[in-house]
Parts: sequence; C-alpha cells; structure tokens
Amino acid sequence: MKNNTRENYRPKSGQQTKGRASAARQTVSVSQESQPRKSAHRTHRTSEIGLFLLHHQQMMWQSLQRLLKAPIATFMTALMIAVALSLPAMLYLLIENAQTLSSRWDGAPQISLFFELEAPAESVNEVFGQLQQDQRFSKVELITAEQALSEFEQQGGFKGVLQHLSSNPLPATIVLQPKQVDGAYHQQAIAETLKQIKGVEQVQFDTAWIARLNAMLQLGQRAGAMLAGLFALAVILVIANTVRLAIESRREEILVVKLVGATNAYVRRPFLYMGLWFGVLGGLLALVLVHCLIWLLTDPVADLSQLYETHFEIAAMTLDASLLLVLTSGVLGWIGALFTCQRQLRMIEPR
Amino acid sequence: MKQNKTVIQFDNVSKRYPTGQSGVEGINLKILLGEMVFLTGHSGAGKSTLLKLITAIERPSAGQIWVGGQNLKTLWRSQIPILRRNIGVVFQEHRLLFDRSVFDNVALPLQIAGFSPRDIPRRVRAALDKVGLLHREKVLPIALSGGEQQRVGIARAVVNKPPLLLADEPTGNLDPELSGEIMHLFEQFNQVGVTILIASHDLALIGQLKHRVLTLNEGRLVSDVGAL
Repeated sequence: MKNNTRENYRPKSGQQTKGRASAARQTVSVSQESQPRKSAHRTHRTSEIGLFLLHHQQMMWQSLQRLLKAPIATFMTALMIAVALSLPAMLYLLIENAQTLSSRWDGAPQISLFFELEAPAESVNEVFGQLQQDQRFSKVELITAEQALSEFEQQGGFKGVLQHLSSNPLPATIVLQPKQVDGAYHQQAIAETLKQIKGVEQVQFDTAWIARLNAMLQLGQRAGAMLAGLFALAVILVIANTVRLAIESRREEILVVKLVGATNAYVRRPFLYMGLWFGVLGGLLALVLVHCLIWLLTDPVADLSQLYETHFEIAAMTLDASLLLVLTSGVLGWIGALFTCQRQLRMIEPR
Repeated sequence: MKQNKTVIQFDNVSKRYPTGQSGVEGINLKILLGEMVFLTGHSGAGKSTLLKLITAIERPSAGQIWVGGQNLKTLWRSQIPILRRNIGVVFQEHRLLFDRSVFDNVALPLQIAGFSPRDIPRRVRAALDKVGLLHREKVLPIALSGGEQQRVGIARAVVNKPPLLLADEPTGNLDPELSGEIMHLFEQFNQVGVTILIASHDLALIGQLKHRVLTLNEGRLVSDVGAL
C-alpha cells in the first residue's frame, strides 16, 4: 500500500530534469536509478526546443505587457531614445538629399566665358560665331552686356539704382556646355584654349563649387557617423539604466527564482526582451519624429527650390533605412540590457 | 522508509564568514534516502548555514559535501540550478511572490524546470491539494493567513517532486496547533519517500515526533539522536 503511493509520488529522474543535459542529470539527480519507471500520470512529450521557444515567446509578450502597464514611463524612455536616434537619422537624411542635389549638376559642368568690359560687341559676336562652329561644345549661349543688365534689373529690383550708373558694369558672357569625350570632360585642355581668345578676362567652371560641396558633404558624412556612434552609446546607456532599475525593483523575484533553480539565462531573458522592446519602441518613435521634421521642412524647401528654378523635394526615409533604424535600435536596446544583466544579476545571489 | 543510500554527506565541513558571523565547524554527517531529520540548536548555532551549504548558496571554507552523490566542490556554477531543482526548500518567511496568484507561485519551479504547459496545471493542483489549498489557487498570497502562506510555500517546494526537502524554521511564525499541522504535512511527504531535513528550535514539537534529531551548538554538531 505504502509502496504504491510511493510509486506515484517518487520523482522519475527523466520527468524531473526533462531531458536537460544528460550529464547534469546524472551528476545531481538524487533519485534512485534502480526504481522502475512507472508513472500513474503520463507526461506529455514536448520537445526541448519547442519549450525553449515557447518560453522565449512568453517572455517576449510578458515583457511588452509589463512595459505597457506603465505607459507614461515607457513612453518617456522610448521618447528619450527616439530623440537620441532622430538626430543622427535627420543628419543622415539631409546629407543624403544634398548628395542627390549635387549629383544632378555633377554630370554637366558649364563653362562661363567672361569678356573684358571694354571688349567691343563685334569681337564678342565673332568669338560667339566661332565657338558655335566648335565641335567640342554641345551648347553655346551668348549673353550680351545689355542682356545681362536687363536680366539683373528684372531679378534684383535695382531698377532705380542702375539708372544712376554712367556705364554698364556687367560684361558680356558666353556660356558653354562641353561635350563628353571618352566619358570625361577635358576641362583643362579646353580652358587653356579659351584663355587664349582675345578679350576674354576670365574662364569659370561651374564645377568648382560642386567639388567643394561634395567635400563638405563628405565631411558631414564623417561627422554624422561619429555623431551616430555617440548617440548609439547614449541609447545603450539609457536602456542599460532603465533595465537596471527594473532589475532592482524585481530583486526579490530574482532571488526566489534563483533559489528554485532558475539558470542565469532564464533570469535575464525577460530583461533582455525589455531592452529589445525599448529599442524597438524608441526606433519607431524616432521614425515618427523624423517624418514630422521632414514634413515641417517641406514648404521651406519648396520655396527654396522655386528660387533656384528647380523642382526639388526633400526625400523621406526609404523603407530600407526605416527598417534598419528600428532594427539597429532594437539591437542597441538588447546590448544595453545584456550589459546591465551581466553586471547586475551576478550581484543578486541568494544569501 | 530508510534505505542505505546516502542523500547528504558532510565530511569535516567548516564554514567561516569573513565578517565574523557564526558559521559551522568540523561537521560530519550522513543522511540516508527516506530519512526525516530535525536540525536543532539555539539561533546562531549554524542551522541556516548548514542548509545553505546543501543548496550551494554558501560554499564551505573546508571539507567536502555530497548531495545525491554529487560532490558540491566539483559542481560548476552553471550546474547549481539543476541541483536546486532537485531540492525543495521551505523558508520561514515563505518567500512567495506577492504580485501573482497562489497558482502561479506554485507553478514557478515547474516553469523554470521547463515542464510542458500542458502538465503544469495538473501538477500544481496536485500539490495544492496535498496542502489543502486547492480552493484558493486564484487568490493572491497577501489574502492568505500566515499558516496558509506557509502551506503555499510547501506546495511550491514539493510541486516538482524533489527527492530532498529542506525546511528552515517552517513553523517559526505559527501557533502550536498550526505548527503541528505543518509537521504532519512533512511526515506525509516523508511517508512517500521524500528525504526531509527540517531546521527548527521548537523543541517541544520535535519531542512529540519520533524522528532523528541533530543538535548544533556554536557551529558544532553536539548530538545525533535517533539515527539508525
């Protein structure tokens, strides 16, 4: 009789450790090996990996629920992360946009030929005629001194002022569009020949400012990368600190689960998911922030592009970039949480 | 129920704390499978230290300890959780989690040990049934009396059917009648083969029960009455 009850009660070593590392089972199992493996209850068989994934899934949703139970605190932390992320994201976006802007002109370097003020209109016309015949240029445009003056008057609103001038201060200009030869513009050679033309005071390449702009953009890109690194560190620290507080507030629970045999991986799992969620929520909020900022910039950019007589619209973040932002943020959160767990959970041991 | 298989063995074990806190000194001890043993002595005699050494909460300063044939000296840090899953522990202060129901408290060791969610409810209810609290599974522990909380703690300790059960002053905060009930519960578990070690200074209660009694005094084992 007694034996029977005992049969039911005695732990079966297999059931107990549930196929945990078999070495561990052998070494620490206290139960009797010789006992027949009979059980009144049938144990459901679920694979180890299935249970592992199930626990991950449970922890994932539980930690999200926990965060949403304190919506304001969670929102504040996520917003802090979002601000830290939206700064480098915004910088990246502006540089990206400026690059597309500069690349539009990159392929078409124009040459402006400025004549001396005293150069007679006839000789300017003569040069213009010659250049029109020149096969090296696809487009040759003449802006006479008079045309330049009237354009200036119309655009600048200097009508009254210019009337007081005794002579036209603007030179005649020929704008040249060189043809591409063998995939390159032979600017240097062209410049040499153009400078030889009588009456030409200055040869100006429009590409110079593009080169400068590109150099500046590269500098900006480098600075942006450094800034992004710093802000990533800030995100890690914010999440590490938040998770540290969460660990502290659940100290008793951690002690109890460690006492009843929880592994370190089990104990830290909810906190790692917490970091991940903070990262993801912060990343999503950063996307919202960035889109708001872009929306605010749309009108001024439209005005500006109208002044430059171009159609330029600031491009929003692509889907890829958005996904990358959220993913990176999530990973940063996870790293921050891991960093804290490694330090903090070691200190919370049953005493 | 006693059999000739050693569950716990202490070989000249000492534990000294760097803070000067009292530990244990030169303990030699053997507890066999299926035994029910009381550990007694005034407070500070080293009862808690002894229990902490068995669950690897503390590591000995000298000597060797075997639990279930495993030398704790050669136990890796990562193996400690597996050891603890095979030892049920009942605390004086219960150590229940007050943010979850009685059911969830008792289910905790099963979740940690990786039991299938389909097995958990049945096992939890079986454990709660044994301590007579089946009808209170949905209640939060705060709503329970001290004796009921202690019984939830016992249910949690036995839910995954550990072969060894340790209890540190399980009746410390209870009146004599409730204490008797709790001890009777432990005897029931012992009758189905669980090895039990109870630290208690309730000499009157221990005297009524006919079990082996170990007495500690200033960290030394001074008497061992009723052993085989």
